[in-house]
Amino acid sequence: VTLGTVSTVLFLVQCGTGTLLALYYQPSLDGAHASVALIAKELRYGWLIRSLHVWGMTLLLVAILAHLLVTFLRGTYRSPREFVWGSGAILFLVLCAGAFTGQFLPLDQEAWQGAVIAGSSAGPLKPLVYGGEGITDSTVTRFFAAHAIALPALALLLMAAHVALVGRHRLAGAPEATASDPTFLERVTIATLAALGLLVLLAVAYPAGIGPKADPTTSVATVKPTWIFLPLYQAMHYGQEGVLLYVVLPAFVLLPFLDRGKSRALALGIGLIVIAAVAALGLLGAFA
Amino acid sequence: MIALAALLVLQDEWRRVDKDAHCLECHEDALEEVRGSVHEKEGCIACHGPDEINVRQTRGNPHRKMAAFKSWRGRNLTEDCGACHIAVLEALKPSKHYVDTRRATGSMKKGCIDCHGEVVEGKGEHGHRVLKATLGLFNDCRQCHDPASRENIEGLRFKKDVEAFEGFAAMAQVQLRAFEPRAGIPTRALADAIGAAGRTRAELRTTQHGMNFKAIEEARARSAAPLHEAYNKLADREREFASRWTIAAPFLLLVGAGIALTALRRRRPTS
Repeated sequence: VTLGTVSTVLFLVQCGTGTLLALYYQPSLDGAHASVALIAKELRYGWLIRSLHVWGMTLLLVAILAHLLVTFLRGTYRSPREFVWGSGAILFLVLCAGAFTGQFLPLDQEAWQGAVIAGSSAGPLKPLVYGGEGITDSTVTRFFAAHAIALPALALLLMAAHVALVGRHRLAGAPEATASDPTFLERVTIATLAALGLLVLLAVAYPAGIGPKADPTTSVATVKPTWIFLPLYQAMHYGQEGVLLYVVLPAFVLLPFLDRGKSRALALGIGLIVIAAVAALGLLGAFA
Repeated sequence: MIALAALLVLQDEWRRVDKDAHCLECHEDALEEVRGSVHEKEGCIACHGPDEINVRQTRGNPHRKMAAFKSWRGRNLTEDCGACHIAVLEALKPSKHYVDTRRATGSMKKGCIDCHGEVVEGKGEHGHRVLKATLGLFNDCRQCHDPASRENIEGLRFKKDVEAFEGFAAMAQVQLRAFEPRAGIPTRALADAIGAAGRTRAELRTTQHGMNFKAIEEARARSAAPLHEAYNKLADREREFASRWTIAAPFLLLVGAGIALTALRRRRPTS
């Protein structure tokens, strides 16, 4: 619950900073990079807002991953809280999609190649993703609409469902994680302040830079995606992304329905192996 | 009559030459001399004009009239070059370096190629190679002007000034590249100044043909001033950005204090 509250606060930070960024962002092939450069370099404290937004996404995903991991280890996802887990897991995927679409918006080289890979993976859905056959102004507006309207709205709905479900199952929740716990408020305050402090520290110490404008005619061989996609990136490198997308991800979302037996040992064992494998893929992707 | 005509046609078979491929059957060496220059892209006919050649004739001059340079004494070569290099011709016209090659005598009789032509061994006075308009050409002013003359000294000074200008713009460009990916440091002013400097440099390439050094020096200085200013401001901006910690540090301390206070309160819930 603590990590859930921290995630919610970080999500609100994303909404606030994102709205400010949207005031200056221009969703077009010509305007996107220039407008992000304007925000990141020319506008007073524009760099801070953008850095908070970029680092905020990282911290948000870390918080949710930690939240999911704790829930998995405690086993509190099991019946009757299948849908608490399910809504949380889908929320995580929606936020990953937010990270992906957000990475595209500055239209630097990294963004361009990410979009090319997304387009080629989308197969027959490519015209839907791109708004045409190639990456055009329509692609930028589509990614922007998804990033700034559709995905946050979806995330809000899922959060509402998640919180409502948590409330419904509160009594059976983790033993100490209830609002009646006298130290709960302090714990949440500390965690939230720590997260916000860390966010500001990271944003000020390592402001988000901006790469050169995408040049569709050149392709940089080793453009790597945001860290959260590194396992997928490495799996694609081996040509095995199907395992990740069609086996691991559905199993992750449907975990409470798969793990129904009396003993948790099997689920815990398989889960830890899969987590280790995905983490290893990510590390390979980062350093190989 | 018909037989006579047929005989004539058989004897002399004139073919109109309006493609470079025909020229290169004999003049491949000329192509080598213009290799890589804009004159290669334009092709032989752009300057020499189309002609007709006698395809049967293998010795002597097979050209019927050799439209352009064969009879250059009757043409104004400066205007011929100016047909493409329009702005240069405009700049050149008021200066003494504009020569009408039909009337010119002495050291300036071939117009543009007096300075831009390269003398090639065994090719007569000039081959097809044309020297690019580099600043190095200003070293050659003394070929016509006395080394101590105002013309030579001003020319060399102009060359030095422009070289310094170019050097500074190149340095600014390196600095811009380094700062461009960094957040929080505005570089647009510098990018704009470098762009303006580049346009000025391109303009100078044209206007320097007028040899009006006072006017072109003024144009150069007008562009150099904002470039220097933008370049110097970058260091200030970097310092300013480094001072972001003066605002961030108290905030972080505040957050730290908040965490500490809450933790204390948690330890002693009764107090």
